[in-house]
Amino acid sequence: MNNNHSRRVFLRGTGLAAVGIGFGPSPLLARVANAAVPGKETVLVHIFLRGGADGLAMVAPYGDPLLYSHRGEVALPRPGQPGGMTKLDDYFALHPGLAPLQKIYAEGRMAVVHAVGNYDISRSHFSAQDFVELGTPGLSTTTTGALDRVTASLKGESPTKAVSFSSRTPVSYLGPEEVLVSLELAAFRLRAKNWQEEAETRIKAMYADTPLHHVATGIFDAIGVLRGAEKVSGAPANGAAYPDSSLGSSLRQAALLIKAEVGTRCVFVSGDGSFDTHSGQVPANAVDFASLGSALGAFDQDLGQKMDDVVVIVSTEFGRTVFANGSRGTDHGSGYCALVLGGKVRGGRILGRWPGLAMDQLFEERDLAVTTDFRDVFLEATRQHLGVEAGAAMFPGYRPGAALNLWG
Amino acid sequence: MTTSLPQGPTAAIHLLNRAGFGPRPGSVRAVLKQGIPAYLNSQLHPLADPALDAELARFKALSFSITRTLDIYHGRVIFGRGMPDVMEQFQTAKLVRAVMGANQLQEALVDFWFNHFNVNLQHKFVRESIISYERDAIRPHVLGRFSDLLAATARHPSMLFYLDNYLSKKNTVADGQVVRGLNENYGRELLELHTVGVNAGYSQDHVVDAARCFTGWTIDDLKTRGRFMFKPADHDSQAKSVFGLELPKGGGIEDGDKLLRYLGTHPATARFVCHKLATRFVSDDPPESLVDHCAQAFVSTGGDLREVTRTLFTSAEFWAAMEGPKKLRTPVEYVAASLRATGARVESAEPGLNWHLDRMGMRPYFCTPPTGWSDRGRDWQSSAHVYRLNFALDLANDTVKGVAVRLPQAMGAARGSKPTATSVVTFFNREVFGGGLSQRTLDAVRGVEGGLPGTVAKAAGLVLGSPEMQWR
Repeated sequence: MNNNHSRRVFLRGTGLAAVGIGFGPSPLLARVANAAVPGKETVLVHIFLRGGADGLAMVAPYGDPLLYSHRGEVALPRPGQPGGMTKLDDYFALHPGLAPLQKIYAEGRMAVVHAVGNYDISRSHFSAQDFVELGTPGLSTTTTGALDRVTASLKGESPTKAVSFSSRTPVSYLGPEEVLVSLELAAFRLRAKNWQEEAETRIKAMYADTPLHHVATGIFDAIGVLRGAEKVSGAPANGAAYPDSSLGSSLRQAALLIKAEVGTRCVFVSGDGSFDTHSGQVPANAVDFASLGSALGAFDQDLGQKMDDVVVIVSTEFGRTVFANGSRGTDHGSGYCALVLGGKVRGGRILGRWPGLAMDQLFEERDLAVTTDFRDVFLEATRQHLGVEAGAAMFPGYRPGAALNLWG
Repeated sequence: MTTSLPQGPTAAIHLLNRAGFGPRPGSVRAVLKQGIPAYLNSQLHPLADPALDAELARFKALSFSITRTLDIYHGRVIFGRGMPDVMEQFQTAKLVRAVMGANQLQEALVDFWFNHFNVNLQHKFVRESIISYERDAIRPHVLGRFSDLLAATARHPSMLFYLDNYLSKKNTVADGQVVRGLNENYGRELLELHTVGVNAGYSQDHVVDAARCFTGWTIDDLKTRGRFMFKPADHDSQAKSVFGLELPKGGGIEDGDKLLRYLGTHPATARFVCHKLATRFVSDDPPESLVDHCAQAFVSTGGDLREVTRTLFTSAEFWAAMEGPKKLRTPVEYVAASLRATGARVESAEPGLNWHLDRMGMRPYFCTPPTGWSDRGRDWQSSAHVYRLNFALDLANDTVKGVAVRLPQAMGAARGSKPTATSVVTFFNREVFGGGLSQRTLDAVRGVEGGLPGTVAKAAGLVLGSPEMQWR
């Protein structure tokens, strides 16, 4: 890291009482959350980029020449150059595929938290994903997922309270709460032409008192809600255009549910893509970050004012090595960046303590060091945005780090 | 030992459900006639299956070399519609084998070991080499030695491509700067997923050294030949240390071979692999005693998978699972079991079966991460279950495109006779469930009306969608 102290990195950390240059209140003055308007139903959307998305490519510290000496052609050109990144400030820039987020960031509805991760290091996809989803890093025997516990602590009983746009129940939702799991809401119905009600009644009777009883109940309850919510089949608002990708389709449907006001509080989106970029990272990122950027841009536009009730967190299981490997890719690393979007997020800022790219600043001389526990990002979202003290349930036994002040 | 196995229809169904894809009409009687020990033994020593071979003869692509598939992909050889036909034949053959094959256990093991050494069809070169991967690297070894299976996957171009090892070279130094050539992907997954498992206690340094063992293991040409080759110039010949194995400097291709042999017979691998087998075939939470027992068989036979598999299926724990909580079928198991139960004929996986399996979240060969699909039934339990119900209703209606079902004929109904809801449910209860359908299911199906063929389709749709059909 060189002499650039003007960049808008908010230093977090107790000793320094860290305040970003030119910005507001000290985190020591804890603010009362103002995100949740009473009576409004707030929503948490977690987009999980499985595979280990490269935080140094999503929000790149182009102001540090080490980025280029470490990564060579895996690092994209600086803003303003052909094929260059999209400038956020004098130090950080977005991957060009995420360009639709520049406006949202500038308008203050998106914050970046950099060098986020898991201090209980695991470079195994499977362990690291479990740690995030169970919410208990280092402990894989937890029997419920973090989002299941959050859902349980939120008000509301709708069959569409918890939703997952995936083809299987993610570990995040492991546990007793009912979750609507589907990639395609329009197809979520029983294909029993001409005997719909009879088939439903008979199937419910078969499943009564079996271990799959609640699965069947959940299905038919959700079908009832979706059938009733006319808006669920509506077109995007405000001219929003979602990309033709799994992520685009999931966020389009998430927006439909939120607009239909069918009691949806917690949404998990499986951000399927080729984020595990051991080789050919530049072309893979070009596809996946473009999909992410345009899907998030469309979601923000589609929801318009309703974004005030919503927070979207984009994260992954680990970052990638600071150095490019021999295959124009990067291997499994540590720190990554999280994106936090929402109408009430105090955005336009890059939060967290930037650890630097010099050899002695890296974790094990290879990875971006972790300076913010991922749980702190989620804790602020649940406490300040969802307006519940779900933190204790979400991350049992966790003592939060210093406030990021995403909402204040 | 095998003489003390349980007898009777329930035991036969348990074996057919676990060591295969479930009963077809008549299977239970056939197994009982042969005797359960003899049936299991025949499954452990697969015989020729001419009926299946005749069925598979229409899938010419199954015999293609990687080179030939590359020729088709690059338009040098004309084959039907090209790659779509190649892939359709490959995907269809998997389901045809599961549905029609006499060697049910072998097919279940090919599915298991492919999943253990997963590669993803959506990757470009994997698509051109995946037929060879399953046929040449997986299938010949599922009842052979684990270390042979491991070595075959390690050298196969599909795996070399999927986990990027074909790009991995030694790090060098130029002008005082390190030029990085190493790719850690295969080295890591070899330890974490293929052999000793993530909790075995290896370090990041071991991952790096494992990757260094395979530097120079590559593919000769991705567009024409697509064969394994070793490039000595790219190999890192410095000393290496991986999880207790010390390799002196000066090694070449034998570094990788030695590591594979070491890991392939390591007790930690025995435990990891046996835990996974027991999870797939016995219980979501397999008893430690069973894992121990199988791991001992693994270690004492040098990783003979036939003996490990025999130990598993003759264990007290396996047979106790007949009484205990059932395992939820994965979507592929559910679809294959339903096709078997109805005596369906699979013409093509496209478009119907792939469409349904996609919705259930388990399109064969489309698993993206190297972890493969989960072997735990409970991981497949979700409201996506609605797509199982829809598959059941569509199948019974004979509206799954690419599949032919003739239920009255499958039930052996005499020409001109009129099957009722009761006769349908009685048939399935006897042939598929060994009388195990619950009173609730029997009651729920009773009284279904819809004229012919509506009655049969509705009643069968309900039975196929029943809770009992979801378990194995």
